[in-house]
Amino acid sequence: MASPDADDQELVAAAQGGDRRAFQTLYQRYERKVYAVAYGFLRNQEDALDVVQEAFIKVHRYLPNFEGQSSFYTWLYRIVANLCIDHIRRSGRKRDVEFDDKIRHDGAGESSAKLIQIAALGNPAEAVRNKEILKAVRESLSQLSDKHRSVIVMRELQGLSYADMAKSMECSKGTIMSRLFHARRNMQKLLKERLEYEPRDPAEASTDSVNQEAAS
Amino acid sequence: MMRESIGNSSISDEALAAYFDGEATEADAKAIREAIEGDPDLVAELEQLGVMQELTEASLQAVAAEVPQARFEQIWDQIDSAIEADTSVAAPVETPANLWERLKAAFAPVKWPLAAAGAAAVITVLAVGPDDSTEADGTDPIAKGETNKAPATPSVSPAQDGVPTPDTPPSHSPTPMNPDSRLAHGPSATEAVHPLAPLPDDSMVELHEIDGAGNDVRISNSGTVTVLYVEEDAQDQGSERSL
Amino acid sequence: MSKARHSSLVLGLLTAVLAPASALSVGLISPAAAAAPAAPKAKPKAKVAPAKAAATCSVFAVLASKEAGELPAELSFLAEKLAGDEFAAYKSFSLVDVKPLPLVLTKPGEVSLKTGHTVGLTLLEITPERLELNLRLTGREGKQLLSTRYGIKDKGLLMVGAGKYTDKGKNGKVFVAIQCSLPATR
Repeated sequence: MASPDADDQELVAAAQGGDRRAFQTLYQRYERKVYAVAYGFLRNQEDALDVVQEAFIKVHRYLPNFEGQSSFYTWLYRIVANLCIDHIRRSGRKRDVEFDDKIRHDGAGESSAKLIQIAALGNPAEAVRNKEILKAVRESLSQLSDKHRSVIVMRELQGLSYADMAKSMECSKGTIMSRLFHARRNMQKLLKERLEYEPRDPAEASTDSVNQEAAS
Repeated sequence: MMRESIGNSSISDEALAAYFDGEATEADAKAIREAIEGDPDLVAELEQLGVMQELTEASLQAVAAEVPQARFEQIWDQIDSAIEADTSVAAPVETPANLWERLKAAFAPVKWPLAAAGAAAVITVLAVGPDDSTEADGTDPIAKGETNKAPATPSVSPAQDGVPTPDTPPSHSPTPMNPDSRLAHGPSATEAVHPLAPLPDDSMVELHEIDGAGNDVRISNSGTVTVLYVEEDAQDQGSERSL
Repeated sequence: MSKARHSSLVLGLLTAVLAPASALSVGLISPAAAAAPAAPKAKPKAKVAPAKAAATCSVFAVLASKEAGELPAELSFLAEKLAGDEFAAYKSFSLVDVKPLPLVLTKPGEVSLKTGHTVGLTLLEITPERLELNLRLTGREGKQLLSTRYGIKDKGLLMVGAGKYTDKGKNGKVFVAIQCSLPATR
């Protein structure tokens, strides 16, 4: 069975030869992944869908230039990251304010083992709880600054290398490493804040609130 | 650079994160692999990085899963139309005979007469940035200062300190490809193009709109040719791109 | 219950949240499902006779280098321009690529250069001896570099200085040169 990457290359080659169906298959293969990345950057469904459209139009336009030096999805993801960064820059909605990163996430790294409370296992409420966790993750991501969110999305979702990220954000690799460090710490702290006050059941809720008062 | 150590080890947070991301140097990776054995704090930290990655990915995938398939099909239709427009040839559109006059009247272009040697060249600088040519011989081929330029076109936003900023986002409509041009490769195409048509002794380049996609565009006219300098490489820019 | 509840954050959460068969199937589409292609829609290709070119353009990618060298024969047409002050910093030039680009009115055309740049040109208007064009320059990986609308004399030359490039071991800067000619019968 061909590897996904080899399969992509075959489709790309066919699309380069004018095979529209091959290009459509590529689109269908990556439509939601590209959307997920764009949504991660832009936090808005319509903007993210716009990027999906722009990205694949650009990909088709630049197909003759693609010589397979990187994998297709890496090339696609770089185009998507550039489009999203341009979008943020143009939209005027950007959040330039960087919190004092060190202060903001002080405490988050003290004990990594205490960071996230375990979800209850094997009970009917599991599905709901997991949805809540994912929602909390999404909200935490949304709360990050544009720069921090960008590096998180590029690294955790797109798997871009530090070099590629540095290129997209037009900064040094060292800046990327530092930015990623702070972004991850902030994300963990935000997630911790969101999750650790969600009680599992009413009995625990009352106990938790008593302890929180005692601790503060 | 963060040098917070994890637990009792001397491994920094950043080094461990680089190891997790597959970006550690060989020496660092070796040190970390050795340190991991028997160091539960390092193991826990790595696992935490893994959890956060999985959660981030899963949360955004969950968002993507909520989008109805019909939306993606709708988007494909748009993409398909754009590709179709790229590859088909439309009939020429009738243009009003006086469009050129209307354009000239509506927009007051900045004119750069490319006069023969000896005539004074009109130079307008919208932005000045670092340039190889400046560094090399110490001379700045770009003259600075105001000229007798006409008012800027409405589509170019007012400059602050002479630096233009894009007023409107770049058009989302794609530039269709001309399939004939793509087919032209190799020596035969070169022969068909050369010799180039003789360049006129003097010509005027009128720039009506310029959009550098958020970066400065430097316009240079030394009297013989007009050159627009765009910022392509990271080092072309003076500071980190603002985001 | 203590806030500092010790949690085996990794294994427990991973098992609970990321097990493929469990909760995440609530909202996720598996990669296999995502990869399954929908029935493609058949669209007939448009068959239209190509229109006669209203202008013929040539797009050149020229490498300007600080390394010593002679001007090659294929760039002799640019000798006077390249000898000017604008290019005083460069000691040699070479032609990296050249592409013809016939244009019809209002129909965008595009060429891709070996340097990785893509040049889009649209012929907007023609008057006796002058052309009105829209130029769009895109760099590597689809990064837009420039969009400009300009008027120029017939056979006039516009150049765009772009980024660094290496050609046959020679380092330098890419200049994209564009010349458009009206048909001789005009």
